[in-house]
Amino acid sequence: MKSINSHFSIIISVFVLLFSFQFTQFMASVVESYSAKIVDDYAIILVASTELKEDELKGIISEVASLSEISSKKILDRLKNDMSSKNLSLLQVALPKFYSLKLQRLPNQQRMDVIKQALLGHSSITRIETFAKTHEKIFKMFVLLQSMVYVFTFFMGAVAILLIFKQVRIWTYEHNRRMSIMTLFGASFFMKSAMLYRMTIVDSLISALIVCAIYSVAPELPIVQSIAQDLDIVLPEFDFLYEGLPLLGASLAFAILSVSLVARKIGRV
Amino acid sequence: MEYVIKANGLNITYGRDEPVITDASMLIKPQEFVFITGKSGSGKSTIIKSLYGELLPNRGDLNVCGVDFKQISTTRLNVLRRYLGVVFQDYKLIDEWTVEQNVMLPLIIGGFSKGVCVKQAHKLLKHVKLLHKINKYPYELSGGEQQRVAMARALAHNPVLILADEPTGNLDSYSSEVIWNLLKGAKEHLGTTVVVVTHNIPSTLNMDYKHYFLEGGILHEVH
Repeated sequence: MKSINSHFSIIISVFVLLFSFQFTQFMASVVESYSAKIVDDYAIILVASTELKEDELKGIISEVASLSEISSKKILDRLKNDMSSKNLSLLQVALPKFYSLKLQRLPNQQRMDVIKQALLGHSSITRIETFAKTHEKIFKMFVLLQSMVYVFTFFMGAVAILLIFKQVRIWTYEHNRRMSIMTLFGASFFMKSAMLYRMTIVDSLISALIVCAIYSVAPELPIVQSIAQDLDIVLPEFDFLYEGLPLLGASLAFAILSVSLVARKIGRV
Repeated sequence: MEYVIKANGLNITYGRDEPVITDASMLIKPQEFVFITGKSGSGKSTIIKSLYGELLPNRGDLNVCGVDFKQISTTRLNVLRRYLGVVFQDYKLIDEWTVEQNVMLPLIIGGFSKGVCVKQAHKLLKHVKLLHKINKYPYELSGGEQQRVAMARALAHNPVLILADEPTGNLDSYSSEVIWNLLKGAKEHLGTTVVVVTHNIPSTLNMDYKHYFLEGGILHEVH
């Protein structure tokens, strides 16, 4: 029973470490897809006295994704019945041109001010509407959420690392007699610590597989999907090759590192 | 190799205490059978411990199997220990390993294949008359049986030098006889150098040997 408990302490600690780390990746992916969605919906409205060229604006602002003209036909059609065709023609000539400017990514407030000033510096542009306030609020919320996840992960990771080191230390003391006898017969450090490496590696790999299983299965669960729909977010799919294998590699590396550091320090005979 | 052990002016202490060994010198040639005797607490075990590097001398020169102990590295010490067969007073068997696994220990460390390890362990356990207890654990054996297992382990890898610390202390006459016969056999048939620390030299031992007596931290060659 005691032995099973000691295995659990490694499995749970590595699980917490990997789960937290993977959660930061998950959050980054959710935030990225959500911000891409906002960027897609977001546009700066420009009012210009003459025709604007996309390349010209790209020369001023590097983030420009596309520039499209907003047709004034709809407004003119609405006024068709109330105005004479002559006045309508005059209005059509006098009416400024409206443009929708899309950006490649969401800028922060500082950058938005720079963009606005740069656009106002253009001789043809007479007015700009950035909808900055709404956009800034959402952006800040995302940044805050992501920062909180990073801080949370950092503390969880630190506690998990301390627990793993503590358990490896306990195991080293438990196996100290065997290790010292092996030393007296000329066993190398790796040979006498082989059992510690084996136990830590197996437990770490179990943890990594549990984390992989959770991140693979969880997004498929109806309750999780329903929450995601309510929040209007797209859940990223777990990629075993690009996410699972690094997790397994990290768990392996961490197991080897923790035994090498702890056992080498206290296992000298 | 002219000498298996060459010690000159050894001074050994435990921590900051007074030195246990003040000025010990000895020269041991290959295939010699050597006894180190002395009163209780005279430092006999300390001498043995220094020969396999558990205790390093503060002063003096020590060379075992061609390895100089001055500034010896851990790796070099590990390599040296693979050529030694050590029998400890308290047996030092691994409790969670079976008798067979304990005997195989030096062979496993030496990198021998499993087949070789098993074959050699069986051969030696037959010699010490414990083949029937191959799958037992040390705590299931008597003191005499444990010492015979320790003896089999010390001989398993055909060492160049056997260091035995009170190998027959507190053993019954049967186990003692088995141990002495094995040590004698190792010298005569395998050409192994044997150094034994003991209270009494067995009177039934029918062979040439060298005898050092330890007194006041100094080794005196008696015979």
